[in-house]
Amino acid sequence: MAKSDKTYFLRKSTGLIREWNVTDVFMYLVLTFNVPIFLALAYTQGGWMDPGASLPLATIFVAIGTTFLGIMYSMLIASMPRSGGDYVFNSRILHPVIGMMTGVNFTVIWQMVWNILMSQYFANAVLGPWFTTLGVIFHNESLLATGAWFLTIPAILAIMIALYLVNIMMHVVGLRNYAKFQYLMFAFMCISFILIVGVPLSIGHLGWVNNFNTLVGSPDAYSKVISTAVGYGFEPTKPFSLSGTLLLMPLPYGALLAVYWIAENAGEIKEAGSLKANLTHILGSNVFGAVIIIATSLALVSVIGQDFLSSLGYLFFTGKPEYMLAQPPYAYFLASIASNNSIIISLIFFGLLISGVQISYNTVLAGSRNLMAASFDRIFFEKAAHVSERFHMPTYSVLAMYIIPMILTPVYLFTGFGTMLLGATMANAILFIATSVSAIILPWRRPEIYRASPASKYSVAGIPAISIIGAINLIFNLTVASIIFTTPAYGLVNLPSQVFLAATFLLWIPVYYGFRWYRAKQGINVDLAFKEIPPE
Amino acid sequence: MSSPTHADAVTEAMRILEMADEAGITLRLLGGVAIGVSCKESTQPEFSRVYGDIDFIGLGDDGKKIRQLLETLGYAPNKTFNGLHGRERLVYYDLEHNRQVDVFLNVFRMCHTFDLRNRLRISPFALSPADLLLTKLQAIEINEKDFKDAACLLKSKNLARKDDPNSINVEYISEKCAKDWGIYKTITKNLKELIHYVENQLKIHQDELVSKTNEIIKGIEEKPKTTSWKMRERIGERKRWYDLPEEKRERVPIGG
Repeated sequence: MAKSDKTYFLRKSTGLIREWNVTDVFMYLVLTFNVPIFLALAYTQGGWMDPGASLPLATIFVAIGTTFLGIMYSMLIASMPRSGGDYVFNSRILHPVIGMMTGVNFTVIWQMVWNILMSQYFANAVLGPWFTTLGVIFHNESLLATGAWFLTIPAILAIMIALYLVNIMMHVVGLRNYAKFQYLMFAFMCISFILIVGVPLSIGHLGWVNNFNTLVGSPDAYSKVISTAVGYGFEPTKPFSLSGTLLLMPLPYGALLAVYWIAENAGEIKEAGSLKANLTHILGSNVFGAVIIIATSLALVSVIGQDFLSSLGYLFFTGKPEYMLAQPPYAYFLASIASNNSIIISLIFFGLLISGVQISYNTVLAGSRNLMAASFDRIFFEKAAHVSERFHMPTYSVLAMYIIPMILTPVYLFTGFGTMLLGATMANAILFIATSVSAIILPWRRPEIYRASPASKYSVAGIPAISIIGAINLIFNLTVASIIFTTPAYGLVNLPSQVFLAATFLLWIPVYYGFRWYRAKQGINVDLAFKEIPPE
Repeated sequence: MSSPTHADAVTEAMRILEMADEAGITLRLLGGVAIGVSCKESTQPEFSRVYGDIDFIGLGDDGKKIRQLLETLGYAPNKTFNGLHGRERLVYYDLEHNRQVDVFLNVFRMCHTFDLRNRLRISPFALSPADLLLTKLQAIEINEKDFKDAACLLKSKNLARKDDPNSINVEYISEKCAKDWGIYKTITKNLKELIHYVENQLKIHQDELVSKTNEIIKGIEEKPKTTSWKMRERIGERKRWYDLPEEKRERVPIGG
């Protein structure tokens, strides 16, 4: 019998066991938040923006909001347990082009943005401070020189290549083997966090001040930070400000919003069709992440002092020449000042390094699955869905998401292009706005999908719970988006950033209609694919 | 060049096995067709049934050769599935007869997991009788076909304390159940349900089948349990002890 040379469909079940369990997903989400990285500057930035703002309270507000976000996504995942998350939800409920503009856009373009930034982060914010700190402890010129080298462009490019190679290997070994390695990443991240919080607490305020003065080489360096900021007219002490606290919300939001991220790989997690399982790992990680942020904030404020943190943040973020530290006031760097023990310091930085590797991995894991989903629906290149039988991964999609950032990283490093990349959190908020609308209208727009979903069991006064939760999320994310859009500190109050942000959404319109036209010429009606959820 | 597939699943399975052997590939049957090949009683009216899909297990190192073999024999691959999961599982389709061929590599992973890479040479065409029984009874949502096949296996084979093609190794089954509480839970539950099936539906060969089943249960219960087994037992059913395979129907693009 000749092998079939035409494409048609069979109905068969695979009996596949999905790869990740609830614990795997919980750790994956917590690593994706990566609080030490994403909130590295929040503890001083917040104090600079408004000394009366409370980061712990802002975190609680955000955690309440992301709780509703997590519930909404738990319901959507249970309704459509397939990889490609927002692309699948929005393309099936709203319109395919909206699915591309939101889901594919955010998981592909904006995740490549993260990949561009990660190389610089590792070099400048982890390896540089690590070796510099060790050089100070051991009075070793080579270590100091190495620390300084990590702040250079060649170092960033070298780190980029190493990071991407490690990540590609992580994709090649498969999800099950990655999950085993993930235990290690999670453990070291937790160790790092425990030390960031615990080491400063162990020496107390006076001990930390003494260490800081020794580091800077002046007996009154600590008090000078405050007095210098005051000299510029900055007020480091202010009464509690609710408005300031609300303006701070985008900072913890930038970390905790990732509570939904597993939706992009829902086809690969066990019990994705179970609302209870989804709520467990999503809401569990939400609480865990919020606790990390709040605990770190309380520890740093109680040991280092809010006045000092606010003043230090002011000097750094306004670019004052009196800012005396060799690197930005990263929270973990400030915490490491509490110790002269090279092992403790190395554990802090190693935990950041090994857990940070996951960020680049998860961006491509999500993006490649979105590209595959769009390709299966015939509205993207077929090669995007090609899976290598040798490497067991969607080779072209994965490699594209590393090669494109590799090409753009030098552009980012040598031009002012980087300022346009600050819209990532805003892009995420816009995505959530669209998906919230999908959740609100799901029961009426796709009643057959809704009725088959565990979410359909829940309603309030006859109104589907998923619609109510979607409405709450819509209000919350519109609020956060408006704060980001109107607060200069978040980098979007400038035309180039706004144009870039808009362009990343709009470019998918010609992509969708272009492929739709092309498939029609091939005799393929792409609309049929969107009448049902994708296959396994 | 591909060749025609047979309509009869057992005949087709033997064709595949013959070609695999010629190619130096270690491949063994499991599932219903394995029972059909291994048990002469399978043709008896009380045990006979129509076999749909064909399931094999092979060695991971032979993965590439197995793919080439099946495509040569006329099977169409699920390329995306095989690409993503080809370390452990391959799926092929006989388009002519609307039949699916599953190939597990090294590990059988469904509701429970069995690493079988060192157990593929006990019997000539299929898994050992003990592994066939375990893979049949590991299903949480066990159905009448599984009971019928399990009963046929028990009728055809003796019970023993070692592996051979004509005996069910009770010691091996007991060891598996003594190390993993989840496997113990599912296997013993299904063995008891098998007795119920024999007594209430099959209603033939009752004495022999019930006696053999009880002997296996006795062997499992008497086997000393590991520490991890005991710790897991304390949690019990509060935590799920099995996986659930994705059984939803899917649309599969062939050749894409």
